[in-house]
Amino acid sequence: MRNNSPAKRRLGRLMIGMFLIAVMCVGRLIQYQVFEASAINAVSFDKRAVHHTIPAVRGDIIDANGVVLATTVIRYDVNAAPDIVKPVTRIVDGQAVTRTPSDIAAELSPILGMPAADILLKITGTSKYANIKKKVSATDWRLIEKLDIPWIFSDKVPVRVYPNGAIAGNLIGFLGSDGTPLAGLERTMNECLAGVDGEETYESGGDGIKIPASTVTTRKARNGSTVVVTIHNDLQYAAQQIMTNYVKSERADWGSAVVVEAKTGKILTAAEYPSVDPNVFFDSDAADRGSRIFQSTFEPGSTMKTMAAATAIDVGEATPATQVKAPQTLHLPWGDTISDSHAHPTQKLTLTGVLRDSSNTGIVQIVKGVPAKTRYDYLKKFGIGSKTAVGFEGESGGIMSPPSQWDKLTNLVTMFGQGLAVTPIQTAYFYQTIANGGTRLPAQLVAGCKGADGKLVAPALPAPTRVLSPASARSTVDMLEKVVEQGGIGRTAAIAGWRIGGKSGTAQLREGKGYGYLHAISFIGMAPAEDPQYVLAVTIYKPRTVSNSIGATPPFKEIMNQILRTFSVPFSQGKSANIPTEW
Amino acid sequence: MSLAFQTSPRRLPTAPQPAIRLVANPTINRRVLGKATKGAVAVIGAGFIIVVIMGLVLNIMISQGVYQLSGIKSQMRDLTTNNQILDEQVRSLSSDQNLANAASELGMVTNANPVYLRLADGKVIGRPQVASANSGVRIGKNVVPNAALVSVTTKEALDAATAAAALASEAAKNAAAVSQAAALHPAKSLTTKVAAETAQIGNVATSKTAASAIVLASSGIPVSPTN
Repeated sequence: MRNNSPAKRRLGRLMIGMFLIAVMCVGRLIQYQVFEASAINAVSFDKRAVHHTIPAVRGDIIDANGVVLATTVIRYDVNAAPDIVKPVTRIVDGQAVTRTPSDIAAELSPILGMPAADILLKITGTSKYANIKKKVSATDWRLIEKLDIPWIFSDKVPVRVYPNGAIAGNLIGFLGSDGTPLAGLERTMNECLAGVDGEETYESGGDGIKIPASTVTTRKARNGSTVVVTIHNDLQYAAQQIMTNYVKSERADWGSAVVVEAKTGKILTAAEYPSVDPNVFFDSDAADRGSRIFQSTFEPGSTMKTMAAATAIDVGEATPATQVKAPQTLHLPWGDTISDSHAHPTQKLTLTGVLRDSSNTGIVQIVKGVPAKTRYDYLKKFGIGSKTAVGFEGESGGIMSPPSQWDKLTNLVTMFGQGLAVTPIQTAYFYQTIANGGTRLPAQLVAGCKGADGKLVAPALPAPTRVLSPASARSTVDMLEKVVEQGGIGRTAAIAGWRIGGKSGTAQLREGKGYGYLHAISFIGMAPAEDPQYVLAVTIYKPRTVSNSIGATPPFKEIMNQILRTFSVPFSQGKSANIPTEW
Repeated sequence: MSLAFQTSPRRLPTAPQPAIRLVANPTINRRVLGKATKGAVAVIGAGFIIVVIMGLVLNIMISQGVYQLSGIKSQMRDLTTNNQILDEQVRSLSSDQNLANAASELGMVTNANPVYLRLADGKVIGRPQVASANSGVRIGKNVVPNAALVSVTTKEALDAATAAAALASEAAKNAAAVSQAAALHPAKSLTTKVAAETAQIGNVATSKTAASAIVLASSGIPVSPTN
């Protein structure tokens, strides 16, 4: 009875059945969990896992006062999926309104600034991806998002922006469309600016939301550091405005203005025209995309008389009051002649007077006693023949052959800046040396690299070069002050209220074998003369409306005015040194 | 009999009894022990259920947290975008190019011949000269290109600023020296300058202090009539 009960039998069969099912389940479980686990895991992980690059943000470039000169912003590549393009239904005032793709194209047209027909063409088709427009601003992308079109999406792309346009554009440089640094500080300081991309791999559900606690690997992105330059944005702007106007009005090839802080060697401004707006560098001529201040060389002309005179004083060959008879033309024993640029009777000048009148015949007679080798060594110490510490890309160190290769005439003409070539930046540091008591400081354009910790890491700079004794440098400044006080051209650089020292240069330019009719004109000076703080070097290359340095003093004066106001330089005290200019 | 059964608590009541013992009802004893067992089972069961529920709740909370986090992150993205848009606008508006254009729109001209008044002895330094739009290359209009300008000072904004300045022009006469001194420092922003002037006009009483403070920094006040 007990074993034959049908109920019990049924129960027994059911139990057996359930047991078998349980065994099968367990078996399957073991198969999946143990034997095939890794394979299944791999497949499922690939389906759930999202590999995600965390892009590192490139560092900014800022000026001495923190004004942003280069930064990175996010732009949006607007794309469509043509295969799912269909009319869009929206609820407007409680009513469903259907918009056809061509209506949508018309809506997008004003936002994207492209014809509706073009947009329609791009969104028509069977492909899964079609780019409509690249690098759309965040403002515009917001407008597009509001249209709520399910088949329009976007990719974020980092884009380099230069908020101040062409201000210091030639120095800052630019990136290619793929983000490769192509020129300027963007390129030379790339190590500081570039970051390291991070990477994240996590598992996400069907809705794209990360599955909690599923992050598999994460490597944090390390953003780029900030480059701090020594440039003063507003002064740079003023100088660029002024140089642009003068280069245009004098119909010159190019012009530059360099402002150096005499006692630190910092470049406060390096303005040039033609300039490049790094935002649209491709619109500029390739020749205008670098910096002529560092890359172009020219024969400097009479601004070099200052170096010749300083050398003569430093070696004890002359004093500011050394007397000389300066004729209009000097006939040299071997037949060559050296002439002054302006007609004049033979004058009785001192060395100071020679600088004031920029007399070629005067300077060679006074300085010829200094051996060529000595003058060469001094010029080397002033910086000719070696690149500045800035190390700008494609920078030139200027050209000067060794004295053994100088012929008799070259030996003399180098005293007034012929037979050698320099860059505009070098000319500024010749005068920085004079302004800084005879010590040439390394040119500095980058104040440092500032990391996330806010610490500014200054670049390693070479040691300063002692060129002249402080006394010789002071005597030279005194002479330069007389140039601005009394010189025919020098006077046009004078600014009421401040003592200024400076020297003009009108350099002939080689054209074939001889010299052409166009010049490189310049005026280099410093203020205030009693204790020089700022050095300004203005160069205008091949002006066509003026043929001498009278065309360089007006921009010099305007920029120097700006310097004095920008840095609130107090009015000068005292009078210039009592040095005779004639006898 | 299995060892398990031998060591089972159920066997306790059958353990050897002391010869003299208190009257104890074994059935009551068994009932108490049964209750304790049931209680323990209930507690463990309830604990287990609570743990399971807690785990579920925690799981749900974490999931919700993840969604909340995702929401907040997207909000942060929105705000970052806002920030970027505003940053770009501010940089555009404060760029030298926009300021120069706005100034020239107002008819302002750069004067290349600033003239100063030295307070120490009242001496006028420099020779006042009229700066006009036609005076050589002294052009105030911006000539340095900037393709990054996303927003510029509009004519409407300038007109509004001009109107505000006109309203205050009467009081400005009193504070002329002050505004001249302010002009000594090339005003970084047109709006700042208008605001500064308004502030100075609004407080003529303190304008002298302000003026002397500026003079200390610059050691001179321009008296050029063409500022």
